[in-house]
Amino acid sequence: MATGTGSTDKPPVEKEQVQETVQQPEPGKFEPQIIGFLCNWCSYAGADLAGVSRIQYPSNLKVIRVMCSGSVDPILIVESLIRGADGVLVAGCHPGDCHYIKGNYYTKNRIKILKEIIKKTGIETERIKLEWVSASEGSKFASVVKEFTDKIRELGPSMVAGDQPNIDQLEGLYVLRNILEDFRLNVFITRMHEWIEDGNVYGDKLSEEQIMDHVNKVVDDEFLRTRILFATKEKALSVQTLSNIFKEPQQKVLEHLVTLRDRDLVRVEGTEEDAPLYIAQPQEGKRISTLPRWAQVERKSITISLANLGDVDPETRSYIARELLLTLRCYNCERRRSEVCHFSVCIRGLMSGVVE
Amino acid sequence: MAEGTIVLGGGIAGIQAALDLADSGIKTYLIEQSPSLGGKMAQLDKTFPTNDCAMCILSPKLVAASRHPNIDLMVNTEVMDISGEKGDFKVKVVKHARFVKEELCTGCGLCAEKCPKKVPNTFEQKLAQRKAIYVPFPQAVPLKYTIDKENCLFFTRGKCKICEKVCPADAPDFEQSDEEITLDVHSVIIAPGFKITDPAKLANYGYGIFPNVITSLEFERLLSASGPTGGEIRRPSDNKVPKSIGFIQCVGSRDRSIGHPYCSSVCCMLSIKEAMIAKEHYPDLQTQIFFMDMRAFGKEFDEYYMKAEKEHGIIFTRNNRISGLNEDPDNRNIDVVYIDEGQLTQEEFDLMVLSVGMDISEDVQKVCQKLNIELNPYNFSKTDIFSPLETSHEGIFVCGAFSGPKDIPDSVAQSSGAASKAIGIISEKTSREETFKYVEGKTYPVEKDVSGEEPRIGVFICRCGINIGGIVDVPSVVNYAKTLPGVAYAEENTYTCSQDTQVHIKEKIEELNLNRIMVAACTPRTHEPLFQNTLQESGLNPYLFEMSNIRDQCSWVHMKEPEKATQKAKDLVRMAIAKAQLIEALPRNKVDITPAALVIGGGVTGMQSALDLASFGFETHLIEKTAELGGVMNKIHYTLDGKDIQAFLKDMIQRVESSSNIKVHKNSEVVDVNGYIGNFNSTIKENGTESTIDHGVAIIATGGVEYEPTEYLYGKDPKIINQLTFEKGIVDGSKNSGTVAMIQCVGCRNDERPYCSRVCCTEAVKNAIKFKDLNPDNKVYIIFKDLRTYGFRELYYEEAARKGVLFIRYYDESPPQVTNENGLEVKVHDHFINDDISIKPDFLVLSAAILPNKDNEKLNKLFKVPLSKDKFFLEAHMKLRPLDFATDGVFLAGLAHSPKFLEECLGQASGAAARAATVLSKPSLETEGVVSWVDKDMCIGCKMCESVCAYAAIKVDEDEAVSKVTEALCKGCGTCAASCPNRAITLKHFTRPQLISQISAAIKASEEG
Repeated sequence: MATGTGSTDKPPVEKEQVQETVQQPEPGKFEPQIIGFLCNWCSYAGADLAGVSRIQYPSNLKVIRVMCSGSVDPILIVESLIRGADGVLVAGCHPGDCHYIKGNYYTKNRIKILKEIIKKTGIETERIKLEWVSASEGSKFASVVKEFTDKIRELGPSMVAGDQPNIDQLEGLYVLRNILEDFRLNVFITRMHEWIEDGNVYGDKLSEEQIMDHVNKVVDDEFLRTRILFATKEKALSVQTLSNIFKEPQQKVLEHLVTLRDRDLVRVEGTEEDAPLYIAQPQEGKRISTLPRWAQVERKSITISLANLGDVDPETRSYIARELLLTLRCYNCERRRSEVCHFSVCIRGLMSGVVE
Repeated sequence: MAEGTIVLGGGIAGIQAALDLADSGIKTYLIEQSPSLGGKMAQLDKTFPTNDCAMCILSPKLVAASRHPNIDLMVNTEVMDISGEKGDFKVKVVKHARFVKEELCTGCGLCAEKCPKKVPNTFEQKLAQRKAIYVPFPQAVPLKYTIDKENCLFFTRGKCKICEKVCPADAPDFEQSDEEITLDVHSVIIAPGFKITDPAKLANYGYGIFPNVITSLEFERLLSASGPTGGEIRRPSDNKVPKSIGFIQCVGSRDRSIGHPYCSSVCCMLSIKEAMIAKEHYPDLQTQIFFMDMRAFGKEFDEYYMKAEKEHGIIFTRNNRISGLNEDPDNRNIDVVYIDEGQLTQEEFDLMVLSVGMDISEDVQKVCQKLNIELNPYNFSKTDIFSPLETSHEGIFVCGAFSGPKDIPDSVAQSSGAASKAIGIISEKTSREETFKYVEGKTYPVEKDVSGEEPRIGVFICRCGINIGGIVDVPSVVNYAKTLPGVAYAEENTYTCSQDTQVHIKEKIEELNLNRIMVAACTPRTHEPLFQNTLQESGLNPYLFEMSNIRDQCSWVHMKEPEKATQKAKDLVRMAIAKAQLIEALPRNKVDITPAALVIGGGVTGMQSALDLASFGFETHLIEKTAELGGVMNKIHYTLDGKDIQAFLKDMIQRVESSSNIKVHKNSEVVDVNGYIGNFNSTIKENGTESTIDHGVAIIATGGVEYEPTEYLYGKDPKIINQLTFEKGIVDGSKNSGTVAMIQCVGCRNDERPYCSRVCCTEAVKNAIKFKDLNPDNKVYIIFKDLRTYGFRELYYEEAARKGVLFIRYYDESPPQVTNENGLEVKVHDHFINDDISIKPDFLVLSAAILPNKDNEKLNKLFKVPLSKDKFFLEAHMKLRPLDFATDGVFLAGLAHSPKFLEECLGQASGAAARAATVLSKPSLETEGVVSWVDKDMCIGCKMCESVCAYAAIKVDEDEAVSKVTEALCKGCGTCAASCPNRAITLKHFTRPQLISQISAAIKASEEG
């Protein structure tokens, strides 16, 4: 049913009657704080129409106007939750109606993936809601707000809000915010629609499950990596220690540490019983990049300098060079050079390394 | 002195024409008889074939028309008289009294709330009530109340005037009288639209007698979320949600008995859409459409039709006209009797929708009498195939449904065409600069540089009479605002939008050296431009402005909770101020425009576009691939009404070749395109030699090609020919007698090409009549699927049938069989008599499909514009931007868009010229302030932004390997910013810090307050 109001056998209600449906909450009762990102052309106009039609709804929603729902970065949603929002509503034009042609398709996938990965923090996915509201759906807008507010009331206050936030969840959100900066994940989110509808550059259509599997893999990786970063922020730790903290095999921890070192996010600081100790690089004022160092420095091609190798015979030199190239991983999907990139994200051909 | 143009009619057709004219710097009077713009489109819920929400796409146009500095909007206004001639008309209009002072009314609606008199709401098709003081619909433009004199208690009984007492702005004025104005203009465009056939004329359908028989327009209102039932379908007799809905097609169309023998063109698609949307509301709903021919002839319509049948489970029942309906008196259901597989069948529906046709109202007929415009026998404007935009009165042009039933995109394209013709009248007598003299718009003082200054925010909080002030404690919000960081000044106003407050704001900016302004009032969607204008007049950059919506999204929706509303208003104000601290002046750069056009395709469409542009004074390059102009039209000899196409074509080619502004490039093709709107630089290869052309716009008019059939033994028997060859044979006398069979839909409406080629039915009918006229003993059989002679073409279908042409319908399951072993034979199964018919024709004529031009696939890459699934070009918006591409500065017309008739091509060609003129008329283009910005140090050149941008506005520079934004093309949607995997892109004015500041403020405010 399009409007979501009333059951099917009820006579049509006059608008004035709708106004009465707002319940007066009792004093001291939990008042949810809800942030709404509304696209300018449909949903914001729909919200205005609710006003013009004087349809009453709860006052808990605070609206932030954006030009297109496609511009709502999931990080903003996570930021809202970190800052103590009990719920976040994103509303845009119906699929196919986007004022900017296709912005809302991206929104759909972004929210879908965000909801999927927010589960890992323990925060209820229902705290995030995506709705399509057109400029003529004033009453739908009002009922969306009402239902969402009721839902959040039912869920209770966010564990992150208030003076004594749940540290685990809060840390989870910080981790999530970092993860959402991840290059690979963003590629997945943006390309998802295209891969499902039109296929990748090889013409293979991917299923949503396939993509979500990879997303989950990326997220799991990044979750662990970010937690490693958090753990090594104050004190240098060994692979063994980290492996014990996170209950993950040492091999896996080591692999992640290597990636993090590649990204210039951790460095080795001292040893403990011959095992190297890793510490997070201070990142003040610096944007954390999830790209390996070389990808940032050399844009057009990967250049690996063998200058420091010293005096080696040409044969050894070329052997090392070949080996190095083979061990290079795609910065997008972290596949090795010898593997075919399934998702065709290596648009720039960053894999074509040059050895000097 | 005559100036500009009058556009009569404020529906979508009139609005489009007015906007095109005004955007080209031409003074335009937009005249509407009712109190609001919007017309029929405003009443629609959704639009086919995209199921776009009608109001969502229409309302920005309404606002644009009402705010345009070159448009003088006159509602409640009627034309009385016209004198003079083209180039200098004097048009007398009467602006009827509204009894409300427009300049004072703020549209708050308090008057209507208190008005004691209820009246049936005509906008809602009388399914709801309104008051005697009213706006036609909530999104009305202008949003000003009107007193309906017929029903107002003061006017009818001499006392009441409650509205006057409650109006906080003193807007009602019972003394107001009609005002007569004479407008002196160069030309007139008439776009009065249509009315629906009065179904009361159709007593056999029981409309007005059986409550559960309603019209398609009433049904549209029931579907609308802002309609009388809030989008729930409830049948009139008992307010129950129907379980089954029937649709009867051709009610008031294709019906000679009521004087409407023409086809209304849109109702088939409209019913499919309504059935589809109804099923979206209630998935278990049963819907059945009773039709004669499914006229899904437009772009991607057939696919929509197939989707409706296969995916949505809508039942389509082909039948002769349904002769009548009956009501079951017990449950008030509607019975319909029809023939199903030869059997008389009866079916019962909870609700029956009459798909009513188009008609012309008496008011419009009267106006035409005053304007001295000839009408056709059915009261539509009389036009000619060769000049589809011209009425019988020189200098008065026509567009929209009044020139023949048509849907929205066809109307919009024609409206742009009419605008082009109107510009032509002006440019005939004056220079190019004089023609487009108002393009520059308003000039403002030089902007102050405030970049180094601390924010000094001026806060203005509107009471909006009692709309905000009656619920929100505005003084406490003002006091609260004063405590917030960065706020230098805060005050409240009765109406912040009023003219005197603008002066006051300017004084405050001056006095207190304010460098940012925040207004808390109604919605920025309608009022932001007004305040931005005030800032600009004070020498501030318009983006140093922020608005907070404490009326539409606060006081109006929390009327019963004043304390909470006040708290929320404080929160919203705090959020806006938080953002205001971070906003920056945004530069808007000027990009020079090369006043030249490149038109690709030398067929009639391309030639017409070139002729129009040349007549405005623009240098135009016409690129033709072959050695001669004229395209496919070279093979067509006469029109449906028997006029000589070749003579018309010859004259047109002569005009093109002799025009001093047109440079014709034959044997040429475009091989490279660089640049963007205003500044294209293209390379063409002419007779093998390459040269470059600078141009500001491009029009793609590449036409189509005829399908070479592989079906029905084509090419294997000289007696099997295509329609064009047959036409040639009729003209040269080689085919003048005998028996002819024609097979329709050869090569299209199949799995490979699911679209309809639109013209073939009519072409077949045309040639059949001509062949019959040569000798009445000639026999013609037309074997068809649906006969799609839409609009007035239906009359020729009738004529052909009357002259003895036999029409035999075939179905996909049993296509005709052609053999030539024992002489040519066509076998087809006729469902009517349920038997096979064998025809032994002298000629078999195949109506072959129109295919997209093969060059489309080259051009779409050169210009970076998309193709549709069927490989025709894909316009920016199927409904309202049929001639534009999403990429600015590139336009399309004619068969490049989709198959269509000559008259439609000519209309689109002129339309594309008018769209192009909106760009070329300006000396330079000002880019938007809200555009994307790339941090070069963060960008790694991954091209993700390039792939998500619908406007080709962001591209990776191959040399630097970083993305660059072409600001002239960027629409500021921010999709690239959110998609950038390395977060190197920022959408200005909506930056992450700005949005996060709003988020923080939203949460913090509540905690403190």
